[in-house]
Amino acid sequence: MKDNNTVKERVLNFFRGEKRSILLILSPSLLWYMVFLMAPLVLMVVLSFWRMEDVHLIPTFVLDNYIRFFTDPTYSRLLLKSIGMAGAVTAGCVGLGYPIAYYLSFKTRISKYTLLCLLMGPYLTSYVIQIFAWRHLILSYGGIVNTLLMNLGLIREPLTWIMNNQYVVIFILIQSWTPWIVLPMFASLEKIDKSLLEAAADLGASPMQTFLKVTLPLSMPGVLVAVLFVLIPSVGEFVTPSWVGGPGGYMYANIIQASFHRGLHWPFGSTLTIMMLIVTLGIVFVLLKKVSWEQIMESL
Amino acid sequence: MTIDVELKNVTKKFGDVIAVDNISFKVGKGDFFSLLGPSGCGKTTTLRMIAGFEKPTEGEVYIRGELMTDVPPFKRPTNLVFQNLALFPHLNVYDNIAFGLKIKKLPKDKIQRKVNEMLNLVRLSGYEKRKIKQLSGGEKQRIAIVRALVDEPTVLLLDEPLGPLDLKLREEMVVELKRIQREVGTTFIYVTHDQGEALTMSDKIAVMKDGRVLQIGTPMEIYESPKSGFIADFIGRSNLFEGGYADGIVEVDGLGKIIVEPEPQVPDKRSVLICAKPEKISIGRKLKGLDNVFDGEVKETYYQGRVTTYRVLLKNDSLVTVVALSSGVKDIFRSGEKVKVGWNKGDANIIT
Repeated sequence: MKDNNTVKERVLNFFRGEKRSILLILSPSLLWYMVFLMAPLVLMVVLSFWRMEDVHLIPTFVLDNYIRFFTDPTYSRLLLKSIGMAGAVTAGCVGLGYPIAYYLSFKTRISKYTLLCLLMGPYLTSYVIQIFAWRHLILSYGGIVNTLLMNLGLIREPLTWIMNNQYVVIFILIQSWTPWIVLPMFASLEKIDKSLLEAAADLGASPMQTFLKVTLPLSMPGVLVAVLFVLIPSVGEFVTPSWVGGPGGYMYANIIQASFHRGLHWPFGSTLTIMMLIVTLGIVFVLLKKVSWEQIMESL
Repeated sequence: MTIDVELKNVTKKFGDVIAVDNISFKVGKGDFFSLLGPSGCGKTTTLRMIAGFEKPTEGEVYIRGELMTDVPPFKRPTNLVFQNLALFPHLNVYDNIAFGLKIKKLPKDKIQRKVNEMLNLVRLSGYEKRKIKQLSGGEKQRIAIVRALVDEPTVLLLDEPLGPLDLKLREEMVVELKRIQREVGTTFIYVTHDQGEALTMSDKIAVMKDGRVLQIGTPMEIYESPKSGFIADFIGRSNLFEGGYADGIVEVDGLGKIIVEPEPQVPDKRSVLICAKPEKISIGRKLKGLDNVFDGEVKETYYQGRVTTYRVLLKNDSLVTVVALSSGVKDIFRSGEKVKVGWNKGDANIIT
């Protein structure tokens, strides 16, 4: 017991010690972030002010790339479209995921943790394989959907509109993100003291009123986390649109990729990236400022 | 007298466990009615059946004469003050109190007036905008109570709401609760395991044990004439002696005869319990003029300020608890001292 105490004491002293020890503990992650996040970001910013001459990068400081971004409406329109698509994905995911989280937290009689594990099942398959399956096995000209519908005699010719458009991109993103964002919403719902729901019922609230006035507002932090989880990566999504999106499903990140890759214009690619970063951070900022969730809830 | 709540042969089973076993009682309008018992006696389950959160397995609950079996909690004229208070953390004090009124869609100015009235009642005016987590324990109590009172329920149900408070605050809240109840005149049903709270506040007490109601009565009846050894011991830690009764005398093994008030209904030789409250037993080096006096030896002395509690060993090896007013240093009996304990026949009662 005494030994235990001294060990505990020593550990505590170490932590109490000085800022040095805290820095020491944080240093691996700090280093990681410096090297793999901050450094590339700074590089991007620097690069965005450079010029291209044929295939050569010219280190300088010009605003050409930004001027190009703001004068050609194609780019901002595409960014807007991507944000719109990401918004649709987020709405779909939260709309489907919230009832699942609610069911898991309040209604299930089977072990909720077993169900949660099952929910995570799809992530045992790599996303590349999933999207490959969608493109080649499910939605393609001779894929499962077309074969099935033709065999049933519902269609004569294979459908081509089921792929290569923005809606299928949204659909597949919803499919892949939904199980994932159940987690933060589930965690948030689990934290709600069940006696609060009884209290609401006791004070005359019907089950629906209880949900709107107590459950939903109290689970809002989880919903917010879920929104950020889906929205941010969806705005910058490029794998899904490039595989199943076709020209109609083209998203903003695809032109970033193209600038770095085929277009060979790294400075403009950097500018595109930074503009997306700024807009996305702006959205996150507004969401975190909460638009005063409480007020929205009051108005319901 | 109008009856606000009536339970008729109510039983509640959870699986094979019988939580409440065939209980019946009536609560009159405006009464402060307590369900008192140790934990696990079924008192909270009983309360939750009145509130509508549990359905009786058998029997009926009536409120103002109306059968409540199929009425969900949100349609019952009862409000519950929860054990953990269950104040809404995302709403401020005002919105917590106004919750039920807003649900009922009362006009805004009326809500405002009622909430103000309630805050005045518990002397917390000016707290409207406070967040729940900024309140102290006692303030939370008060808000929880008026939140349940504001829409004027027929019955207010309280599930050990004073449990988490420290002793001093609890004593204050007991006085406060009784005052609130007197001012609003609502029927209160109060669940507690604390006999002091129950005795202080209640008009009537139902003592429960193992899912059954053992005795219903005023605090004085429950305290002065308990109907079973359990109640006598649970409320006020009585001294119990068991023996055969005959003609005003109880013969206790190893101790001798104890004179009691004659009980004509009790047949001779019937085994009875004598219950003597600690504060009704006298202790001294010499005792005169008492009906029953026994020799004993002080085993333990607890000086508690106003009173001193003694544990005295009698010759039949039983320990008697005596509570005496502390009357000065030289009159305190020390452990090991030979003393006499005694009482008059009228100060003890018989449990048959």
